[in-house]
Order: sequence, then C-alpha cells, then structure tokens
Amino acid sequence: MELKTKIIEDSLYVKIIGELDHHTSEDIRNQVDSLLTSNNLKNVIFDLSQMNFMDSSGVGMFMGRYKKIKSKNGVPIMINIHNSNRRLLQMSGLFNIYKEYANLDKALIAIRGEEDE
Amino acid sequence: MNNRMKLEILSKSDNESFARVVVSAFAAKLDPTIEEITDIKTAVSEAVTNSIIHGYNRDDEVIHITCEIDKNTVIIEVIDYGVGIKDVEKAREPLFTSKPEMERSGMGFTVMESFMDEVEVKSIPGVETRVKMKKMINSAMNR
Repeated sequence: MELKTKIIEDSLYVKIIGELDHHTSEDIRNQVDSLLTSNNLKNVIFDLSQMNFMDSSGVGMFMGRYKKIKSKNGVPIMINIHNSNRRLLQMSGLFNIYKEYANLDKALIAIRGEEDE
Repeated sequence: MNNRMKLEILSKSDNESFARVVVSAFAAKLDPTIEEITDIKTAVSEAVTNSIIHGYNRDDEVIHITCEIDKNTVIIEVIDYGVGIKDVEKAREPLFTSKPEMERSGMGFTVMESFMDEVEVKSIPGVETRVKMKKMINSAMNR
C-alpha cells in the first residue's frame, strides 16, 4: 500500500494505492492524522480510484478519520469510488457520514460552496 | 472437481494479504467472477484478522487455513488456538467489538455472513476457534 497526499487549501487529499486492511490501515491512520494535525487542516478527501481491496478494518479507519474531521467541523469526502468497493462502504453505513463526489474537482467545488455559506 | 489444501501462517498482520491471495488463487480453479473472488478475499481477510487481533494479539502464533473445493462450492476454514470467543452470538452481532479503542468497526462477522453463503463459528475458549465458510460459485454450476 502506498499513499499519495497533497494539501489543497484547507483540505488533505489522500490517494490510497493498493490494499486497505488491518495491516495497512494503521499506516494510513498515522500518516493522515499527523498531516491533519501538523497543518491544521479541516477536510479530508480520500481518493479511492486505486484502492483495489478493502475489508472491515478499512471501515474502522474511515470511521476514525470521520470523527477527527467532524470534531473540527470539517467535511469528510470520498471520490472516485469503484463498484467493487461500493458494497462494503454501503453496508457499513459509511455513505451516511462521508460525502461522495465523482472526482476531485467536484469535491473542491462542494467544499468551497460550503465555506461561502 | 474436488481438491484440498492447507496453509499455515504466523499471526502477523503482514500475512493477511498473503492468506487471501493464496485462498483466492486456490478458488480460481472454479472460474469465479471478479465479484465472487472479492467476496472470498474479503471474508478470508476478516477471519484471519480476527485470529490475529482477537485470538492472539501477538504475531508469533500459528493460524491454519484449510480450503476445499467440493463440486461448485469453496469451503474455507480459519483456525486459531488463541483465547477464543466466550459468547459467539454476541461476537456475531453487527457493530459489536471488544476493541473499540483500536478503531475496530465490529463488522467482521457481518461481512463474512453477507459475502459468503454459510458461516459457522465454533470456539472453545483457550483451546481453538474455527470459522468455517462456504461459498457456491455460480458460474461453476453449469459445467
């Protein structure tokens, strides 16, 4: 598993490349949390375009990041979700707490819109 | 077609991906769809992760995984010899977890149950825990 991260305005963009399980979710949690804290970022955008496996350990990781982002009144977002991951995300209720956008541009437009209000 | 294999791994989290790849490669003989393979991989990952985190909570113990193909059905059993599950019924409830502080979602058994056709959990605390899962490969039925 490999992470590509980028800071865009007050959001952290995180692309998960590879498999998200118990073994790799610890790495993701540590990297994402330290970037969020040290840069005082509000929102997180998980790009799942290259995530080719996920189990319930991943669900736990996403729930944990949701709590962190919510405590700062930020928006947790997922983009580029493909169908093989959709079932588990749906089943675990993650779509009730994460916003889904088709791609990064649409996510950024939505974040900017929210902040103008 | 009938076939059988047995795998022994140490309870290292690094072996989670290895276990699911081996089982899915074994099941590939039934020519499952991508979705069926994803289901099997995910269920195996859940069972092995349970053994590592809850059964042992250490990385130097043994986990056995047996896999059998019986006509169009894959039968997978994940066995550990760790602390065991005192209340299996409770453990199988959605969102139940004994380790919320570790960001466990409590979805493991629910995932196994929804992705496989049958899941049987037998635990003798302190002796062994067996999770036996079956999945019919539909595309193999017509052959």
